[in-house]
Amino acid sequence: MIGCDQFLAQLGDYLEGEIASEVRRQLETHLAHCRTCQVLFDSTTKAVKIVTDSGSFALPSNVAELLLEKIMSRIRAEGIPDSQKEEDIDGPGRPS
Amino acid sequence: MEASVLVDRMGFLREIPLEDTSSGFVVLRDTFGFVPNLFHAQTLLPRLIEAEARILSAVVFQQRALSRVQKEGILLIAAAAHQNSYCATLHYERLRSLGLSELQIDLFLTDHRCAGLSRSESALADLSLLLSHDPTRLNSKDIGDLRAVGFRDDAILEAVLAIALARMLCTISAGLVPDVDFEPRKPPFPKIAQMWEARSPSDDLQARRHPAGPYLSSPELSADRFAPFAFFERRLGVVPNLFRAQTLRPDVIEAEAHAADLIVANEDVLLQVKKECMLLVIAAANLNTYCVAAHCAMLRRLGLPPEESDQIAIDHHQTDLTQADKALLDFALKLGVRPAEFQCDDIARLREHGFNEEQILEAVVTTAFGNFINTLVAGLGVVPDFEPRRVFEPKEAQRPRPAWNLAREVPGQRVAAEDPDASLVARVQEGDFEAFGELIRRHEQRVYRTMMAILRDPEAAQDGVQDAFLRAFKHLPAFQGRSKFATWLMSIAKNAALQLLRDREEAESLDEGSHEEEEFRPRQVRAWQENPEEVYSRTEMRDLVEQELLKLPPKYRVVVMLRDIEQLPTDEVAAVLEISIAAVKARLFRARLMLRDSLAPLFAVGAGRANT
Repeated sequence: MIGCDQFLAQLGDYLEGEIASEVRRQLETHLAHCRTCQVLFDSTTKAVKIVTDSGSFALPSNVAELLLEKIMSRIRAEGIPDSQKEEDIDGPGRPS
Repeated sequence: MEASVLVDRMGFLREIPLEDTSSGFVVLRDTFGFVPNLFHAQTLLPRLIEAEARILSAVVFQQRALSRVQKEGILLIAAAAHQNSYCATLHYERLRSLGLSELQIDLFLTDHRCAGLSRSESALADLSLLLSHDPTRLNSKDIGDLRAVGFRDDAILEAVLAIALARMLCTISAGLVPDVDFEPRKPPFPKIAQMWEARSPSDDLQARRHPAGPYLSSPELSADRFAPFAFFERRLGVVPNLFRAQTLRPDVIEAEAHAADLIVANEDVLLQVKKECMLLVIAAANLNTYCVAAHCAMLRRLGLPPEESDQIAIDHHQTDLTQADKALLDFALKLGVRPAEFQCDDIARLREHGFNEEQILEAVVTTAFGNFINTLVAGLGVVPDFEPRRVFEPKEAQRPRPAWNLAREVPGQRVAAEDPDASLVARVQEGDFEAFGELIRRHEQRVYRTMMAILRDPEAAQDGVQDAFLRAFKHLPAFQGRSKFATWLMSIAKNAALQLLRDREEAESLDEGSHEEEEFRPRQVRAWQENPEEVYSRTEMRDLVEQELLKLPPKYRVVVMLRDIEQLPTDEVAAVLEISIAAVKARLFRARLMLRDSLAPLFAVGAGRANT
């Protein structure tokens, strides 16, 4: 039987669905018995959904179109520059 | 076997002509109307064809609970989800021969929910897509959805069997690359993203709390009345739950037992212990606890100590296996779990290790059979009958695939091949600047959000978007596809934003801070309302969330922005921010708890507007 501390320690992975089935079973057994963790889990799940569904910081479509035009007109005017070697920014390393 | 006449063909392995009257071919002709090249490519070992044909016949050809059109539809959607052009074409043509028009099939494939299907047919397609795309996420609620539209358990069992069979056929075709039977069609990729979106993370989580399997009812069959069960008892001392879960279809159990015998137990070509090791690594890579336990138990019967099989499941490179055996397991993993990357080089590598054609063919089919069983177990929710060996720690159990399999691959082509922007990037690189407009259109929103996360000011963020795209354009000639274009672009955006901050002398750091390890204690303990999203209008809700997001420390805000709002996978967030996956997870979790605390006064029971 696991306690609230262990539940909290695993909750992040549980929310992401990245958890081995045995551990998941232990967490769910704990959840079934612990009101405090039920509340924590339920409210965190709801908070994540609210944040995800909020569509926060969406770029208005007219602004998006305007920015696109601005960028493209700069590109059409200047073309591909020669100074490619200025700094190395060829992407991040592969995640390990 | 005498391989007297060899036929030159395009596939990876040679084939020999086989009597048209061989038992497997007869069954296949009944099922498909002809013998597809997928099976001609296996003529070196006719027993394998027979094993597959028996399962095909029981699952697809026999008219039971589902119609042939329904089953071919399931097979088609599954093949498309596996991006397998050969199998998709095969089932596409079957559906056409059953009277469906191309338009109907195309609609069904691209977005079955908008194809005017009945609810029950749409539910079957849903199941096929879910179980094919990520078996680990299927749960009893999904099966409940099928019952809700009127399917009985025998029909659901048949659907799961067809989906598992589709995966088996796709794996074989990826491994053998048979000649085409028809003008090949590139299947449109089914709208999986929307499927997952429709299942919001919280739905998924709620569903996980439903009791585990087995999902379907299964009448008791006794060993003295059903020969295959007597056989299992004699051979294994137990009738595996996998088979007990399918007693609605004793004929299918017989076909599977027969196939297991012909593919795995037969030792004419490869030893059973090697094949069990292959099945074990595939089960582990599929995160299939049942199969890991079952193959460990089997290996133990074959004399392998449990610690050794555990180590094979975790990382077979850290074992005393011979180089050839390790190569065989590498082969199984790649073909089984990452078939899109499988190439003729992989076959060549086995040849270099001394494997002959028959052995390679058997390795392909064993791998495919492993995928069949794994999918079946996930679809039926079979509970382990052997004490599960503790193979998976949460850190290893990363979706979609365990990192320890991917990490060993040479980085490079893999990502580029999957990059949906690759062709646009190539066009720009070849001088078609207008194609860059489409790249902007695709990524403007996420670049803007990355900017907002760091700069917090809409105007500055809009300037930042221009800056980032111009930088990306300037450096595009040097971009080699070592990462996805989107990842590369956003990492440029992040660096550009940080540069802008430095210019404004407001240096913020996104680096790993020291208090990452500290525990964060949630403060708010009141329960939330049942439907918090109904308390405020959409616009109000967005404003509230934006306010709270802006209050977060930047390194947390940027992670929430990319993961929860832009919905990027964890590993891509890590690549963009150039931090470890573990750091992304830790920050994400902490940020979510902080947001929960700050939103609680608005949404707790008796709080906020509901109270007024």
